Amino acid sequence: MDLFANLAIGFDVALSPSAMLYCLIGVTLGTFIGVLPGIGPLAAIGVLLPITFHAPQTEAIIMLAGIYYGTMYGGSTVAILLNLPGTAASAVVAIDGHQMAKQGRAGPALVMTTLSSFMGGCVAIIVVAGFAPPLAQFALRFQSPEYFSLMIMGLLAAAVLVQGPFLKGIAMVVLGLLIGTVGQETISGLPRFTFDTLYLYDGLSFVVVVIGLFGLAEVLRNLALGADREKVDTRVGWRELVPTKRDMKDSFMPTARGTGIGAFLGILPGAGPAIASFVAYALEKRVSRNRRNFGKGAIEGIAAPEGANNAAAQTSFIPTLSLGIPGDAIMAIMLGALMIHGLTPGPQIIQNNPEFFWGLIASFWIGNLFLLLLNLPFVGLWIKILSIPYSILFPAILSFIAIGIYSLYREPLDIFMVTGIGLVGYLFIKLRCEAAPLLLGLILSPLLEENLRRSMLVSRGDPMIFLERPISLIFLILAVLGVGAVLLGSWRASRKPQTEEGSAK
Amino acid sequence: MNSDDPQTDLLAAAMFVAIGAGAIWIALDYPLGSMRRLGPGALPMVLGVLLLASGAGLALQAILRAQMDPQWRDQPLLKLPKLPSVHVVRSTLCVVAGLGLFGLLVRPAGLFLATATLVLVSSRAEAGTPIIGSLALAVIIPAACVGIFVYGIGLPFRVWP
Repeated sequence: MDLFANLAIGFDVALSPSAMLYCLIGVTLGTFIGVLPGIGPLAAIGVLLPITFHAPQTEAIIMLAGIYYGTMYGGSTVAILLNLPGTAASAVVAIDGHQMAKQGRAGPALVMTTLSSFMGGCVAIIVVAGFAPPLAQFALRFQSPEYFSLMIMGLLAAAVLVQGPFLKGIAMVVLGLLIGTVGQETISGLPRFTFDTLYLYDGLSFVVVVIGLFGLAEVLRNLALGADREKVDTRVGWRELVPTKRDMKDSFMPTARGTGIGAFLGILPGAGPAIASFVAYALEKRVSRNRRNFGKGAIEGIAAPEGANNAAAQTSFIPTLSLGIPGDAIMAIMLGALMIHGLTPGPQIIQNNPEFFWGLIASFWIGNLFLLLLNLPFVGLWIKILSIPYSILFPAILSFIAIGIYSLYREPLDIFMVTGIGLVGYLFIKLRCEAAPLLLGLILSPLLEENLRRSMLVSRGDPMIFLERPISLIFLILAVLGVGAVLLGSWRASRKPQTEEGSAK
Repeated sequence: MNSDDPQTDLLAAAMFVAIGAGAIWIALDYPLGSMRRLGPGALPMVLGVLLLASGAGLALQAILRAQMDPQWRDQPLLKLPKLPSVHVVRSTLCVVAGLGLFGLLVRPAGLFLATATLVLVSSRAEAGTPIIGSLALAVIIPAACVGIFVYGIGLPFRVWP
């Protein structure tokens, strides 16, 4: 079987001492930053991103992936123990997880998140290994119009999934695309939006934008909260540590169902782990025999979304790697990191860089194993981290941000730029504009322009080309249907609470 | 999906409209090209128009919602945002100044002093932090950073002036 031969190549790479070391460092750092109060996975990856650029190509991406899993795991830990979910995905786990912690069952809850994640990860690896190559094969037939329509679909999905008005999401995507055009234009060499500065000739550095919008803006927001910052109460009951046999039995099917949902949703561009968690939890609440205990500390309510979360996290690498179209903001960062390392994601990556591709996939599994083996014994330590006062933490985070950015290009102007973007990011938070769609727009902007231009050249200036080619048409129809479905859903939801006298929120 | 209050949406809309208009204004100088050969100005122009339009749409939506929803009808639509409190101004200024000084100092003064300055200045963001605490952090954090970045990762930074 090709599949196993390929996985064997992968494990060969991923089991090399240097890959394992970087994976371990990534997972540990990720968990460490992930449990820090007020730092979600995006901010954590933003802060740690520059470090990975000093590692060799494959190792760097393995480390970044490790950071990603680590932060997600750290996020779940905080969500369960302290009911402080850092992300939408961990908000779902917090519903029942924190109830369990209150009942003194934090131990089983944490063990189960890790076990479910691990199982989700194991299944998802097979899905990735099985689906990515055929998808890449299929995508080899894609030409510019198909890519253009696929990107439009992904961008619309990102816009529609923000909280609040759809138009805000659209505006943020467009703003991201616009920022992506800054710099010298590829064909004519015309500098665009550079304001006559040499600094902007190469465009805005993607890393600077990520760190400013996510890392620094988070710090500013937390500082501004001041005394209102959530007080962290680290006293949790530890009556039991390991799940009982019944817990395991109760969790098995929910995990399996969650994994299936997650693996499927992760493949779709624009979906990703957060949606997968929500859907898995909602489904489990319907089908579970134990549904009446949901929200009161049902272990099924942890197992299903955690399995989904992790499975989706891994399968979302499928579109990112084999099409070069990221599903969400985190994958956009991954894509940016790949490009900085000189790897061009797309259908060819599997053929041209098999060691990289399969090594990364195998490292997913190893990263999960590290999480399982290393983090469970150290739960107590992670909780200690939570009690570090913010007044000590944030100068350290700022130093990390500043040194990290300066280490990339040795350009002091980058520090000023990140400060400015951080302020803009803080403004976005104040205006309740989610920055994730902007990032997706920013990373896809050059690709979108190139494919648009090429399509128009091929069609001799006829925009109907996007509707005449079947695959491209399908993407556009899916995009319209998806947007329509979500808009209809939110319209219905907005009508309902009005009859109950504004009980929205 | 929970929506934000119309006033916030209106401010966000104003920001989008302003940026969109600015982008169109600047992109007017770039050649648009033809449909067949899109010039460097084509995409920025389209994006500028889209941004302007979505901003305008958002504003319209916010105004309509404010008109229709009893919760908002009696409130003034254009409420200026509250002035930031002394604390917010102080913390933001400390962070901005700290990072700015780092940028200015890192080349001439080396990594250690630049980081120490950043820590010292930014840690004043919290009014409750004693000076002695800031000073201690300004020694410990740069030392740890030099340890991690220069000796751990092996980046060739100049540590001292």
